[in-house]
Amino acid sequence: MRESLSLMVMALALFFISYSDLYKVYVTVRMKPYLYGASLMLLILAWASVLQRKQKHYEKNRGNEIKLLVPLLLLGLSLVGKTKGIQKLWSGEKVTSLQETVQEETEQEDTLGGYRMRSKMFSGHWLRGYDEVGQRIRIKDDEFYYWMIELQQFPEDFAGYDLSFKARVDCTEEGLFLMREMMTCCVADLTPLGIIGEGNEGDIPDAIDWAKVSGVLEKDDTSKKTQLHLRIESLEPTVPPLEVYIYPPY
Amino acid sequence: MLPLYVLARWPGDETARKMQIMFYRFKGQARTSHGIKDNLDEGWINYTISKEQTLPLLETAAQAIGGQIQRIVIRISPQGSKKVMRELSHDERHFFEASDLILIDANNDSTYKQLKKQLKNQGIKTKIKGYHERQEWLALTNQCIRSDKTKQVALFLGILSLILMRWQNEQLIELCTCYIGILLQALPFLLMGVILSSLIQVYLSEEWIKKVFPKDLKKGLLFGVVGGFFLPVCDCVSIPVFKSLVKKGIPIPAALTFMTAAPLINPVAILSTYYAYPGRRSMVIARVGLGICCAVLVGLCFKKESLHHLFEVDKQRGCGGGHHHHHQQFILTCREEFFEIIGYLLVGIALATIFQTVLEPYEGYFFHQGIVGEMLLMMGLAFGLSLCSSSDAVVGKSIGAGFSNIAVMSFLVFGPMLDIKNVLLLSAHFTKKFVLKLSLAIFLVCLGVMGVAAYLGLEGLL
Repeated sequence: MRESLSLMVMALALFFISYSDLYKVYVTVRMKPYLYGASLMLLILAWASVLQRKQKHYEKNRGNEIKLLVPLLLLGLSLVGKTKGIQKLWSGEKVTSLQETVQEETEQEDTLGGYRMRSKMFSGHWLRGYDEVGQRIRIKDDEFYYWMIELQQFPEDFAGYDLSFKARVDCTEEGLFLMREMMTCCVADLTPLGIIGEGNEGDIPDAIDWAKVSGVLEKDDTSKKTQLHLRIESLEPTVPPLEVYIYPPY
Repeated sequence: MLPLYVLARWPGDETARKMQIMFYRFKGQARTSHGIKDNLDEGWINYTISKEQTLPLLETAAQAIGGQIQRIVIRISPQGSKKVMRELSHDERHFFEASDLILIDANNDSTYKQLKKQLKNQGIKTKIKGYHERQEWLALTNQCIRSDKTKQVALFLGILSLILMRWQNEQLIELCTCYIGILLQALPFLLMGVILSSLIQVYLSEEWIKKVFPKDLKKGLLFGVVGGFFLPVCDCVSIPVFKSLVKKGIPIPAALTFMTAAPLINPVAILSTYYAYPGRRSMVIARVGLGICCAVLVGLCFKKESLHHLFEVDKQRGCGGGHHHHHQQFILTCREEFFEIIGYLLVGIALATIFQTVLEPYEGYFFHQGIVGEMLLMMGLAFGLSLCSSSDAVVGKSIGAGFSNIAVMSFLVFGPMLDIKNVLLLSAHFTKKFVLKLSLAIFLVCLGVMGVAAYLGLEGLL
C-alpha cells in the first residue's frame, strides 16, 4: 500500500511541475510530453503495486516505498527555494515590472521590421526587431539564441549596428560577458551563450544580475577570427525574461 | 489474511533433499526481550519441504492455513554450511535470493567468510549475517521480522527536510535543482527502457529470438549497430534492453555492441552533434564512425563470455498463458524492473551531481596536459558528469574549448558508453566482476581507438 502511495505521489508531483511549467527550471521544453508520459506510467506502476498485493504472492521486502522518498524530498526543497527566489525577485523595488517589460518589447517589435536568417541551420527562419536602414537590432527574449548564432556566423555584416537585448551580466577577465544560459537537456548542462561587452567601469552598477543592455557592435581585431563585441552605452537592471533559460530548437 | 513468517533451517543431511520449515505468526500483545518463541504464537506449524519448487510449495501451504508470507529467514546450520559450499541448484538459488535474511554459523570464521563469498558470487544479494549461538540467531531473526525501516527512514527524512528547509542556502538549492534536473531528464527514458525490457521478457519467446537472430558473429554485430541506429534512446534505455536481450539468449557481443552504440549513433545524438558543431560535418562523421568502431571492439572483447547463469535467479518470472495473463504479467514485470533499477539510478545521479559541483571551480586547471593527458581528462570528465548523449555535444564543445579535437572526441565517444550512472545501472543486473571487466574494456578500447586516430592524424581533419 505504501509503495503504491509513494508511486502516486511521485506521479502527481511530475504532473504538477509539468502542468505548472515549473519543469522548465529543470529540463528543456521538449521534455514536457515525456514528463506527462512518465507521470502516467508511474500511475500504472502504482496500480501494478496494488495488483501484486492482491495476488498474495510472497515478495521479498526491498524497501521500494523508501526509494522515491529522497527525490520527492529534494524536489520539494528545490521548489521551495526557487519559489522564494522568484518571490524575492518580484518584490524588488529597483526593477520595472514584468508586465511593463513585455508591453515595451511588443511596442518595439511593432516599430521594427523583420530579418530572414542566413545561417545554414536555420536558413529562412524569420526574426523580428531588425531595422536595416537605421542599423538597429532589438533582440526579443525568445529570439536571443537565433540572433547570437547569426551574429557569430556573419560578424562582418553586423559591425556598427546598434544592438539592445536583455541578458545576464557576468564579469570575466576579457570584460563583461552578456549572456544567457542555454539548456540543451537539463539544468546540469547549462552552457552560456552571449557576447563580450566593453564599457566604462564606473557606469556599470555593482552586483547586477539581469540587465537591459544596449550598445554598438564593434569588430574585434585582436583575435585571428573576426568576432564582435559590444561597446556598451547603457546597462540597466531588470527582471529576468519569462523564460530564464534558452532552449535550443533541437 | 494471517501474516506468516517463515524460518527455514538448512540441514546437513543432504540425502533427503528436504529442509525444515516453520511457519510462525505473531501473538500480537506478547512481547518479551529475549527469544523469538516468546514473541510468537505457539501454534506454529513445523514440517519438512522439498528443496525443489520451494517457494510455490510454501505459498500453497501458507494459503491452505489462511495466511500470507511476510518474511523468510534461512538459517544454515554448521552441518548445512558444508553442503551449501557448492554450486546451488536453480531452485535453491531462487529461494536464497527470495529470502529476507540468511543466517550462517560463524563459529568457524573461515568457513563463514568462504560461504558468504560463495553466495555473493552466485548472485545472491540477500543480507547475510553470522551467528554463534542459539540466542543470537533468535535475536537476529526477531529483528528481521519486526523491523520496519520504512517508518524509520520516513521519519528521518521528514526531520532532515524540516532542518534543510530552515537552513537552506543558495548552494543547497542549486544542488537539489541539479539533482532533480538530471532525474527528470533520465526518468522518462528509464521508464521507456523498463517498458521495452518488459515487453521483450514477457512477449518474446527465447525460441523465437533464437530462430530469428543471426547466428553468425559478424551479422550479430551488424544487428547491434543497426539496432542502435534505429532506436533513438540514451543509455538509460539501452541498459535494461541489453539485459533483456541477453536473458533471451542473444549473444553477448551483439547485445553489447547494441548497448554501447545506441546512445552514440542514434538520430537524436547525431542531430545534437550537428547543431553543436555547425558547419563541421567531420565532427559528426568522426563521432559516429569512432563510436561504431569502439562499440564493435567492445562487443568482440566479450566473444567468449556467457552471462546465462546470472539470470537464473529470476527466470521464473516470464511464463505462458492466455492474453490476459500476459498483459498482467507485463505490468508486474514493469513494476519489478522499475524498482530493481531506480535505486541505482538515484545513487548514480547523486554522485554525478556531487562531481559536477565539486569540479566546477577547477575546470580551468585542465588545459595543456599533452594529448594523452587531455584525452584521459576529458574521458574522466565524461565519466563523472554523466550527461545524456543528446546534450553532451554542446557541453563537450563548451568545456573542450581549450583542448585538442581528439580530446573532445574522446569525451563525446566515451561518455555515452560509460559513466557513473551507467556503472550503477549495470550493477543492478550484473555481478561486480562483469561490470568491472566491461568498464575496463570500454575504457581501454576508447583510449586505444582515440590514440590510433590521433596517430593517424585525425586531429587535422576535424
